[in-house]
Order: sequence, then C-alpha cells, then structure tokens
Amino acid sequence: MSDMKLDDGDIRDLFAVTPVYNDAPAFEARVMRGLRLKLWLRQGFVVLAGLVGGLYALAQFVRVPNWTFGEAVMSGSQAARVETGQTFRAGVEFFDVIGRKAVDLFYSSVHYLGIMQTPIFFWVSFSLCLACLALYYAYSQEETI
Amino acid sequence: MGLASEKPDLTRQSDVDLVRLCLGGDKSAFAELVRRHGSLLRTHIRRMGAQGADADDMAQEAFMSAYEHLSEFRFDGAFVGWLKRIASRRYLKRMRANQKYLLTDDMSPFEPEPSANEGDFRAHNLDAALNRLKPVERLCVTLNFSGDLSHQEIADELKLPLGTVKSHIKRAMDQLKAILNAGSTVVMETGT
Repeated sequence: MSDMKLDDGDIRDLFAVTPVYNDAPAFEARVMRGLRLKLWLRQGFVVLAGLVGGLYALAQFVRVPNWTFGEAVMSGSQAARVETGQTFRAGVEFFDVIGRKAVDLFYSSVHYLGIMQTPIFFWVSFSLCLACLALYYAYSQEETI
Repeated sequence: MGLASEKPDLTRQSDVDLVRLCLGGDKSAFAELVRRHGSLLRTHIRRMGAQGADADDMAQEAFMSAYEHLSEFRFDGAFVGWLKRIASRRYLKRMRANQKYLLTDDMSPFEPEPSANEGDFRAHNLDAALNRLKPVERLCVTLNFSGDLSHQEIADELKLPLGTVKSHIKRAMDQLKAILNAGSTVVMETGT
C-alpha cells in the first residue's frame, strides 16, 4: 500500500469520494427550515409593506386639503339619527353631503396631481426605481460564477 | 387507487426530474436534492478551507440560494456542478471579506484540526492531506478538481495570473501525491 503511486486521476477520484455525515438528516431539516422561514419572512414583508403603504395612502387620503371625510360622515349620520321623524330627508342630506365632499376631493386631488408633475417628484421616483433595479441586478449576479 | 400512489418516488428520480418538480412547486423534491447532495456540498466547502460550522452555514446558504435561482438552472450540465459553483462563489465572497484566509503563505490559521493530528492521519485521507497545503494551493486544487472550474475560471475568480494558478495547482498536486504516497506512518513536512 505504501509503495502505491498516485496519479492525477487517482487524486480526482479521491475528490469524488464524499464522506457520510452523521448529522445529514439534521442538516437537511435545517436547510428546509431555513428555506421555509425565509419564504415566510418574505411573504410577511410584502404583506407588511402593503399594510404600511395602504395605511399611509389612507392617511394621505384623509388629509386632503379642504376635505373632511370623517366630519361629513359623522354630521350626516348624526343628523340621520337625531331627526328620527325625518329619516328619509336625513338620508338624502347625508348622501348629498357625501356627494359634495366627493366633488371637493376631486378638485383637491388636482393639487396632488400638481405635485406629481414637479421635477422633484420625478427624480425621487426615478432614483427609487433605479435603486430597485440595481439591487435586483446585483442580487441576480451574485451567484453566477 | 389512493392519492399516495400518484406521488412519484423521489428517491428514484434523477436530479433533473427533481429540479423540474421543484420548479413546479414541489418542495419535497428540493428536500430530496438536499438529502442527496448535502454531504457532498459540505465536503466541497470544507475542502476549500472553511471550518466546521462555517462550512455548514455556507452550504445551507448555497442550497437556499440555489432554490431561489432554480429557474436559472439551464439543464446543460450536472445539477451538482451548478450547486458547487454557487457554493464556491459564496465561499470566495466570504474569503474576500476576510483577506487573512486568502492568498497568504501564513499557515498558522490553517493548522490541522485536533482530529487530524499525526496519530489519526491515514495515507489516503485526502482531507488531512489538504490540511497540509497552503490556503491558496488548497483553494486552487479544490476548485479545479472538486469544483470543476478551469484554470482560467479560477484565475478570474481569484484575480490571479493564469500561470500562478497553474503553478499553485501543480505544487498542490505534487504535495498531495507525496503526502498520500508516503503512508500513514510518515510525518509530513510540507514545503520542504
């Protein structure tokens, strides 16, 4: 055995030999657990981002200048409750109030459209999109060798 | 008649079939790939120079990365080769972040582990023999023989001249042959 001479092919064969690990099942379980956790975190992050974004959008929606959705609804519904004898009229007024406020909202949205047309809005959006693309590209290139 | 009979026996499937099943959303197929190639990948990373828990972490990351990039597997080579390349990439990236491990002649961080001491050494124990090589030689020879990378690919990855890579591999091979041929009773003196 000791006088056996190894050549390159023998060394290659030795590299092809894989030892058996006692903890192989534990390693498999660990990989799959990590994978599930990562996928769960990613889905959770998307849901959370949607929730935060939705809440932010809602907050912006409620803060539209000269438009108080909450107050209008409350006053309309209060009128509907108080004037029990004139429910139908209160209802009509309630929807009338909502209709007028909707028109107000439409006009005030022009203000936001105006913001969206400013150069600063464009550059901020453009930079964010570029950053997203760059991150995606860097991530996709990471594993190629 | 039951539904169980319709599920294929994953242990009998080829890697390519398992990858296709994974792409179809079957996670158990990927678990079978992990079971099949886990030890091989852990060994590959260890042979490049990673130690114990680090090697297992990198193997795990490589599998997770492979799962995420499975749609990029082109089916033009062995799945395990693709997997090894991902692992090699991760290892090299980690090593670049810790320059002390790479391209150094200092052997002190790479003293053989206690389990691979002289008494336990066997003539054909490749892993113990690899422990005796300089880190850069070990890395080059493992990337070439285990990772199936060409000399040029190794040179590109390590940002070394092609000639340097070739000489590292040549020296590593000479030493491996010397160590493995020497027999279990010989005390090795690498580089001398």
